[in-house]
This record gives sequence, structure tokens and C-alpha cells, in this order.
Amino acid sequence: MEQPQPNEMQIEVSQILGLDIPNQCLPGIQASLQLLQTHANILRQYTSMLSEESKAELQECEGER
Amino acid sequence: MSALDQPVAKIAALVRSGQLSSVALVTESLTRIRTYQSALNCFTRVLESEALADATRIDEQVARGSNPGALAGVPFACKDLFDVKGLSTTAGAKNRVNAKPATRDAEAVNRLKGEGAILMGTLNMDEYAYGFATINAHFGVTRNPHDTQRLAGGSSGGSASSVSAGLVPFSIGSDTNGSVRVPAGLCGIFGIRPAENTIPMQGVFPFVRSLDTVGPFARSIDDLQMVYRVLADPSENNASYSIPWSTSDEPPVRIARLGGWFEKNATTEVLHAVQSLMTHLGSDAVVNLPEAETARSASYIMTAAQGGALHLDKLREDAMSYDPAVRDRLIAGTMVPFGLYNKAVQFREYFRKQVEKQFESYDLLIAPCTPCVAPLVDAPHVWIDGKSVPARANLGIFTQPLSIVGMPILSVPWMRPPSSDPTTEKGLPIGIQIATWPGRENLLFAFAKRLESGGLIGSRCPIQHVS
Repeated sequence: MEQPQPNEMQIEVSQILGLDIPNQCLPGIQASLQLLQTHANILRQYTSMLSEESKAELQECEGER
Repeated sequence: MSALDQPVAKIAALVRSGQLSSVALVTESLTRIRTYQSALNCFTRVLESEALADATRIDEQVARGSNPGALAGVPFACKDLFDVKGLSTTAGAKNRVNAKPATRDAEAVNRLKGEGAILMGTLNMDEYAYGFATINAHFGVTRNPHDTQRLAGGSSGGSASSVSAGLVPFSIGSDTNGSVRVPAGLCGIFGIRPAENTIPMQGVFPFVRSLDTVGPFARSIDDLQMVYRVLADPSENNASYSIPWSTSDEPPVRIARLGGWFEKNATTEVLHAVQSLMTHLGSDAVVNLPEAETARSASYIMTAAQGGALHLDKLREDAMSYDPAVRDRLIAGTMVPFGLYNKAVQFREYFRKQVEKQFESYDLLIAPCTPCVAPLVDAPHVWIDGKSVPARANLGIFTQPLSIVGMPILSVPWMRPPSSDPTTEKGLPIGIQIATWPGRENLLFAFAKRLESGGLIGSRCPIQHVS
């Protein structure tokens, strides 16, 4: 039986991270990515709505320590 | 009442005085574990011969006239992510069952044993601590002693269930996003997520290094504080936090409950528990942290990214050996862009400052541990924004935002008043978080002790043990 072709995400992840994603994992990963996107949107929206003063305070916070 | 059900300090005092044999205590604990393990599935390994040998040594020490320590002969157990010399640290994962055995005990285990406590075994958890449910594909589901049809919560589900059922007087687990507070709350016992850098992480299998903490579980605030003191040796503490050990301070009066995010999605019963506590305390102060939802998102992103990065090599090697629900979340985490991750870390610092400002006006902040009582094992879901979503990822919606602050947070069991309707959710436990700023741990414990003495909070063992 012919194997399905890897999708764009699988190819990128394999090339960049060296991680081969089995096809059967795709639905779960896509659901997880969707949730991450939701949280990324919440983070982006909230910080974009901060006052100028709060934005400056946020900018002063260190990122990765 | 059996000696095993006495306060930890009393058990240890009886052992030290020679009035109680450590071997007898361990034997009773083993009997209880054998009796309830099949119904609860708390333990992943029971260390019967090792525990009996250690107990014999304690009894011999006492016979020689030497003092075995503050926890002399008290049985305990640890989440299966603490190194135990000679055992593989599974972290709840099938693909670590045959990992190289640990060459020494985790520092937390070492400190407890150093004070004479007896390790009875290792406890079940969500695989790699990635979950709030203790639904483990390899080791099975850990069940709640208050209703075995329900979840114990997670990820330290075995730690909470074993103490709640009276199998051991105390246990230890870990809390990254709520993994002590959620199961402690659902199982009706006490737990604490300590301030960061308070209890050493050496020998603990990591999940999210910047958020991981070690926390104890116990049946009373005195027991919890006693174990906490042994774990958080003041001489080892981070210099930036001083922990005054005196409990003579007057309990604080400036108390507020957290509103907004911490009310939304909570059931009426959970809201009632928090409100009734506030009413008893004579406070109607409410603090809104408008950043709370975003803080949860920041924590979610940091967890996914750091968890994914930690497991990348193993995922490359053998992704299919993971629990599918954990594997897919970890793989998704490997794809989080650094820019997004860094924004989340930056927001953490910002949020920490916003919370710190609240502690200029208040000493303690109160919030529910979970949005609802323990969900059913056969329907492991919670209701969020009108949708049924997996308990595994969402039971910690109220603990997760507070985790990233790095402050000490107690989880205490609300004591239902006798008049409360017993038909409502079968009288299942409801946990309440009490948070303070690092360095005020003495106030936290003293305040909780006052609540416990007043009958507002307290643990009730759902099993009538016969000795």
C-alpha cells in the first residue's frame, strides 16, 4: 500500500528539528498547535492593548534569563 | 485511633520514646497499601523490604538511645520523578521503566530520610508531569479516595490519593503549573507550592525547569509545616528569600479574594466555598488581576516550549514510546518559535511585578484550586467558557497563572459546614489556594492554622481504617 506523502509541516520539522513525525500523530499535534495559537493570540492581544506606560514597563522586563 | 493516623509530630515522638515501633508502623502502612492499591492505584512501586529494613534500623537506633530525627519512623512516599537510589526514575513514562537506576536519592528524599522518615514507595503521576489528571497510559489512572469513580487530579495524583486515603501520613510531589495544588484540592488534603528556590530540585526529573518546584502533601497544617521545614532547610535557602520560622506573628488581617478570571468558569459550589471563607473572615475585598488569563497563556507557552525542548532528543529517537496525549503536546511544543517563547517569559516578569504590587495592600490572596470538584474518570472533562474540554489540560486554570509568580501558595481543603446539602456533588472536597509573597511563609502557615483551628478548613479521611 502506498504511503501518504508527508505534509509541509512534517517536512519542515524533519529538516529543521530532525524530528520525523509519524502520520498517526498529526491530528493530536495539530490540535495542540491550535491551542498554542489560541494562547499566543491571547498574549499578543493583551500586550497590544496595554497603555504606553505599561508597554514601557513590559519592555523593561527581561526575557530569557 | 491507629498510631498511623496521629499527627506526624506525635508519631515521631512515640517512636523516639520507644513507645511505638517503627516496624509496626511500616507494617500497618504496608497493610493499608495492599488493601487499597487495587482500588486507588496510587503506587507505582512499593518498597516493602527496604522500608522494613529502614524501620528496623530506626528501632535499633532508639534502643541504643540515639535520636533518629524529627520524622522518626514516619512512613512517606514520593512521586515517581524523585531519584531513589537503586531504582529507575520513571517520571511516569513507559520509556523510562528500564532507565539507568539512580545512584543516590534526590535531595528532598535524602532530607526526609535524614530525619528518620521511611520511604514506602513511588507514586503515580501523569507521564512526565504533563497533565492535571493522573491519567497514565502505562501505569493507569489514579483514583480519588473520596469517590473512586473520580479523578485524583494531577500530576501528583498518587501523592495526594495516598495521603488522603491514610496509606501514608505525608508524601512529596512536584508543582510546575499546579501539580500539587490541583490534586491536594480534589483529594481534600493540604499541600504547598513553595516559593521558587526554596526546596532543592536536585535529583528530580525536570519538566519545565523555570517553573518546577517540590511540594509536600499532608493531612493537617501542622504536619505540612513540619515536613516543609525539613525539606526547606533554612541554611540551604536562596539568600534572596529569608524564611522566618517563628509562628508567633499575629495572623494577617489584610485578605482579599481573587476575582475576574478566578471566578469565571468556577461552579456555584466552588464560588460558595471561597465566599463562605471570606464571610467568616469578615472581608469583602476583591482583587482583580486583569493579566491573569494572559499569565495562564504565558505559562502554557513556556511549558510547551521548555517541555518540548527537554524531550526533543528522545522524541527523535522513539516518539511512539510516549503516551500519545503527552507526545503530541510535546512535539507541538518543539515548534514554538523563540520569539513567542521569549514574549511569554517577558510577560512572566511583568505579571510578577503586577502581583507584587497587590501585596502592598494585602498580605494574602485567596482563590479556588480548581473550577469544579473531581471529574469522573469515565468523563474526564471540565466546562470552560461553555465548552466541555479535557480535564488533563484544564483542571489547573486557576493554579497556572499564579505559578509563574514564584510565590508560596498553600492548597487547603474547605470544610463543609454540617448543614451543607450532602446530596450536592456527594460532598466532594473543594480546595482553596492561599498565596503570599516570598518571605511571608510564617504568616501563611499561621493563618491556615487559625482557619483549621476554627473548623473552616480541614482534612477528613474518607476511609475508616481498622488497626
